[in-house]
Amino acid sequence: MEKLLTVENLNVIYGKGKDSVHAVKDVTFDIAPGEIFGLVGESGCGKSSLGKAIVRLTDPASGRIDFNGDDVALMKGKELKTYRQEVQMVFQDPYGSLNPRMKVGNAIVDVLDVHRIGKDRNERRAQVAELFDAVGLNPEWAWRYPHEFSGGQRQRICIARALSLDPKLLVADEPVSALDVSVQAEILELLEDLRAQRQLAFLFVSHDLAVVRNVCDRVAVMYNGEVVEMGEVGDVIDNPQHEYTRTLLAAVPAF
Amino acid sequence: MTEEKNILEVQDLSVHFGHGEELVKAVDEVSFTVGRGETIALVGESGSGKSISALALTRLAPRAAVYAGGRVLFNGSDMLLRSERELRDIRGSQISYIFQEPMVSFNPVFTIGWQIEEAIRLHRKDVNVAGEIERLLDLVQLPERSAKAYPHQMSGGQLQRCMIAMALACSPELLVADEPTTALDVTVQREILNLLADLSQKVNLSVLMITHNFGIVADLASRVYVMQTGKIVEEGGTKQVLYEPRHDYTKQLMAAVPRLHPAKN
Repeated sequence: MEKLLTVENLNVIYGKGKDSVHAVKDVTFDIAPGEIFGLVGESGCGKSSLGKAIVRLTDPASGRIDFNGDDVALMKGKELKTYRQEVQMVFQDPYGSLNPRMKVGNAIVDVLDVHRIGKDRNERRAQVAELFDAVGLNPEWAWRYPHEFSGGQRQRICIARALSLDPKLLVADEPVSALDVSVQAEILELLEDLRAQRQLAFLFVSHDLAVVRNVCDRVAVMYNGEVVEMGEVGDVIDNPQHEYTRTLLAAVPAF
Repeated sequence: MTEEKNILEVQDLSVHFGHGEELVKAVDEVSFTVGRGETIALVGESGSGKSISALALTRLAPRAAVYAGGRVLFNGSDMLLRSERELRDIRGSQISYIFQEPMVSFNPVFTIGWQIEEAIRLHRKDVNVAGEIERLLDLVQLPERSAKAYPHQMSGGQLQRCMIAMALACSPELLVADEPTTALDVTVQREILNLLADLSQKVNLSVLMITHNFGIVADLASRVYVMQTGKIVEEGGTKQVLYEPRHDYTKQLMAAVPRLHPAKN
């Protein structure tokens, strides 16, 4: 099967010597185009470090990350810039991810400016309108400030911004954890639509197993920096093999 | 003898913001009760008025709020008729609160022990403070040395335990828990939920739980009230509301909940 992203024996270590923290230990997995791959585990287990290594916000100590067959660690200049267009991030707290003094549309125009997409400001503004439409927001709202939106709308704005460079992979770090259940359902539906329309792949980082069950194709369970279990989402949740996966599942308040 | 049975009876409570065309009925003729030692849940999406209802119990809603009507009977006496001074004695000692974000609920420049001590000194005169702090930390299963720690030295789960210790410092009769585990991991959340269940047994605490997580409702609450745009649209025993919801809004909410084990059909 064709792979978009492959991660092989990845290690992330912070600090040196006695005080060093081995945040990601020998992690191996891959994501196919259009796949939603879940990554679950408790805080401090290394999920975010892994996400950061993939977008090259932190350098791995060893191991290899390939994107479309190219080694990410060796990318520089133009190639790295293209990589940074193709891999985008969405975070948990959409309000914290937007500048409160900047109209949300301008936050997206800036991204297009940096990457020289569109020939002038008018064309970029037109693109913002299209992106707003794509994430289910009224394009006229693009020229408002972040505080004028609800949490769910802000998350849609962050997704629109991430989509502005037409990425192939979205690293979504707890994208719905801060949202209400009904708003959460809407955002999850949006992510599914984007996958269907754009063949967009996701690394979906979450601690909510029920959410992962409902949107992901496969899932990896991380504990203490290691992937302790990986497989089809239904198999892992209905028939967990590792002790930690069972603990995690038992902790979920379900009905 | 209703006071004997229910610690809290909210009757037709209305809290409004603004006036004229801009009037917002944040809480619109809401009624609910909490029995002694009972845990009930108030559920609904953000903006439905559940937090304002909870704050209104001790007139803590934002200053712009107008208490437009209704009664809040706590042990039979109406909180809305009490003076600010009387309320200050009640808040924290008889009705106490815990909130969603433990990190922002503590003052970062004082130790945990100092902040628990403050809660004790405000309401209780003749106690051995050091002994009390130790007892409270023990109650929430934290080691004694936690008293010397600063908030940034603790994890989110530990801080929420400290928050609960502080809330219990004066042995309140009613604990209002506003999304107490939303910011926490699922395993830590489990610990905090177990702790709350345990405490409500041990010290016969009544709990008003505000949440949008139906798993938590099923776990802890005996009865549940569903709020939408300021009104209670459905109420009943937890099982009945979760498994046989009658109101359309409750049905929609339930349909939106992601299931760990979706029914195969």
